[in-house]
Amino acid sequence: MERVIGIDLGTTNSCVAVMENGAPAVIPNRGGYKTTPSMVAITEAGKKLVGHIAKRQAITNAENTVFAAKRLIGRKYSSPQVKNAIATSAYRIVEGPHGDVRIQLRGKTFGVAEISAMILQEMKVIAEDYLGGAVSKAVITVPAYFNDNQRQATKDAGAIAGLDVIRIINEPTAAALAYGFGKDLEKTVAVYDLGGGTFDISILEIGAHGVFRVVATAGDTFLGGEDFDARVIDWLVEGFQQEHGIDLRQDRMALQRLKDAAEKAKCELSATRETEINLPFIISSGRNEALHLQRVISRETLESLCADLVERTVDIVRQTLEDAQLGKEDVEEIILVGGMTRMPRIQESVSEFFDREPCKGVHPDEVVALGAAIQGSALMDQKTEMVLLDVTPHTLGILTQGGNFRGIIPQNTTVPTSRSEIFTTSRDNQTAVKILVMQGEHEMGDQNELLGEFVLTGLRKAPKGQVEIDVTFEINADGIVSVSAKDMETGQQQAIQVTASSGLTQQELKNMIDAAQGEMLERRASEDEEAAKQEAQRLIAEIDRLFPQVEQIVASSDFGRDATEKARGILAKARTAVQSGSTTQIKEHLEALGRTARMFRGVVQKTP
Amino acid sequence: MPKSTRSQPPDAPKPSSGEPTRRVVDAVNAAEETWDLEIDVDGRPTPEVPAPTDPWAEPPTHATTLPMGEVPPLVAAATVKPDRPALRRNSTDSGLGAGVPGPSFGGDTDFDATDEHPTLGLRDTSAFESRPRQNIAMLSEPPGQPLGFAFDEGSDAAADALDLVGRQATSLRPAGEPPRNADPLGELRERYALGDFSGALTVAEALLEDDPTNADVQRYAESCRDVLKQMYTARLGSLEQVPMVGVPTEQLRWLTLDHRAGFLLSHVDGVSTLEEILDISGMPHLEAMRIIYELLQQKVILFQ
Repeated sequence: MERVIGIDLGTTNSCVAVMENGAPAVIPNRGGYKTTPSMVAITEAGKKLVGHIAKRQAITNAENTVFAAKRLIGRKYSSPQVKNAIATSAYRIVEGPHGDVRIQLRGKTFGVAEISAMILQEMKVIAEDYLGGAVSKAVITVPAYFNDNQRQATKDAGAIAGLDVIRIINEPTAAALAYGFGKDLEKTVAVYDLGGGTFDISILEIGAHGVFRVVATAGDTFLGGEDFDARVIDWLVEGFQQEHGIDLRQDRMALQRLKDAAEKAKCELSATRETEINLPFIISSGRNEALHLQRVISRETLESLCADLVERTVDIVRQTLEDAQLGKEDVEEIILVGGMTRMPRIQESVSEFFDREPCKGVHPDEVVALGAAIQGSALMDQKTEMVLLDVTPHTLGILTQGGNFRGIIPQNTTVPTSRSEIFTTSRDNQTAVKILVMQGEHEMGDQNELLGEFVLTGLRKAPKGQVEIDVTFEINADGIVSVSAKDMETGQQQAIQVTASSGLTQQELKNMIDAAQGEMLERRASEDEEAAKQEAQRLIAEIDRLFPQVEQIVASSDFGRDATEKARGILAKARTAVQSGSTTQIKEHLEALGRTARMFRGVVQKTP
Repeated sequence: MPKSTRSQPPDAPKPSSGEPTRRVVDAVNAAEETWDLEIDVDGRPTPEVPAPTDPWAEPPTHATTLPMGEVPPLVAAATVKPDRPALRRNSTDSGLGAGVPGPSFGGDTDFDATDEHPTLGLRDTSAFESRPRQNIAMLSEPPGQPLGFAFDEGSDAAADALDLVGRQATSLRPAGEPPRNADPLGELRERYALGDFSGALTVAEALLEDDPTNADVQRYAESCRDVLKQMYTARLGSLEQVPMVGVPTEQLRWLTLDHRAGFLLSHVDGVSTLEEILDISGMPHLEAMRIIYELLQQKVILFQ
């Protein structure tokens, strides 16, 4: 059976998991970390950096480092969220040819899906290195509130990365899947997800036979661990300013180090009561000497610095339960997701609010990816009885008179579904009506996402309010939305099928896929070259190390003198090949080197 | 593409008579001997640029290790070309741009790692006093060099030397001002011809600030960068190497580092390769390589 990977494509960090021996397991990256920062950068030399390495230069190369691309994916340039991102991002966000969002790095323009694809490609490589073979299928998670365009854009990103995205699932659903793995539960659970850049709260019902349903979801896309880091940075900067009269924010290198140290200290304070932040040579005093920053921060200090942030999350949880007309007592389990939930104060606040301890059985950084891997495996294994009910992430409806939005299929409705509503004309003798199909929760249409539009013509002339039009929304099992409008008297009908779009044309998508494939081939070739070189160097070193012993052994016998001469020749040729840097030449000598090393090992081992 | 010629360029400065000048030329010629061994300058885009005669390659220890008594070094340095103050380096000039401290190359530093403290990477002044290894150019180094390239304050000889250079430098160039010369283009050519690529780059960059379109100067600057980059690459070795910090954390602050070195050092984690550190430094590669090389020389960092 083909392996399917589960990818948690996060705003700040991403994680990849796979089913192994019937259980989901997270795959560590090359640095040994189980999560990889969702960051992409282009260096001055034009080199692409992804993950930890991009994060480590994010402040010193801020204009060319993309973080939190997930906030932009699948959105229109004109949307308020994009405006907000423009105001808070150092990298350049521009309008694409189709009203979509593009990002400029070192003079080159990238689609947001293209940036996300770089992260997905990194996750794919991590999985391939671990599994030792190609991986082509994936389940990717998205926030429950993502609209169709955002989901489609995520799928496109997967395609660019060379992945066949067999399913997009909601992050809280994935978390609940991992939580309920191997258990037959019927529970209402709350998924409290405080990641690096976003906060989400979702209420899910886990039904019999593995049926999962998102009852309610809400959050804040600009509240996360980075805000906590920022408070620590402020504290450090103010302290340094008081002591030395120097504003560390003016120096990017200092700020980069502060950011790294603040995040590290914050994480350490989840396990210890206090920690020291020690940054020698942080900045020049201007008098030909460098100053050091050294401060001890306690858990209490961190908690007081971030108290309002924690309170904000609790307020959102309270509001979400109220909106869903649920009481705290209705929630039977709380699943904590995201690295920030390791902070003891957050765990205490959640416990205090729900009057119960959150579940400790799942790993907050890994649980979403694990759930995606479980779902991927279930999709490939026909015997699995698990059913994931897709729900509409947002209300679907049309624009009516006065720019008001009228919802027809409410948020969180299980698909497939169909709903109808009767509308009337708003002007006398109106012969045509324009239907604007929208998605969102705002009562004003311009705050919601426009999915498509069409015109129903041939209406009979009559005073306003007398012509009745039946508008029907239908979502099939594949999530395809069809909207039809019918003049109830004449039977005249018009319909459209709404296709989600990431903002990229098919041609653009194809070009990006081709380019990414080309880059991948180059990368693999380069890794292959490096591996051959390292293997040759390793074998040369081993033979060199064994040579004196072998020579000694051979000298005391009548055999093998030719062999040592030959070995010398092989070593000399291999060294020349390594120095030349030619992979072909190196590979030509690998076999001989391996043979010599084996022979030398054998000689040494067999001699007492 | 032929290797760069080692012959004296036609417009190189003609040495005047006198002992100090002869030593400069000697040092230059001796340094030439190591050129082919250390630096492959193939592909340098400098057809119009006169060939350098004093490349860096290996710091020219053998050529420049003169007995202290033989050369009255500071006087000699000052009297080689007293009318060319800009040939001496200012502590705030690294040759990589105004305000960037650091040593220049082309034989103006001779740094022996064996002179350093075994654990701290600090200079051992006794070694300096008993076995002077400075060439003329190095002795013209002003005080306050970062990364411990300056002499130890505890050394009388060093202190005297620094004072003398300091006065000379101060009297010729107001503090905080970049090097100026009546004929900066001439100075650029001269420095380049002498193999002082970092100095030449400083002058070139200053000229380009005034006239960014000057193609000749651009070529000089580009060539200097190429040569310097090759020099550092040759010295550092494979960029795939993984450096690690060679000094205990609690002793780090006793080193004489500047904040840029501190920044780079903060990225040395025993996992990241040199190439990765260069990528994430956010600094021009040349400057980052220079600092890393200096950290390596001081044994503040080591390769695994």
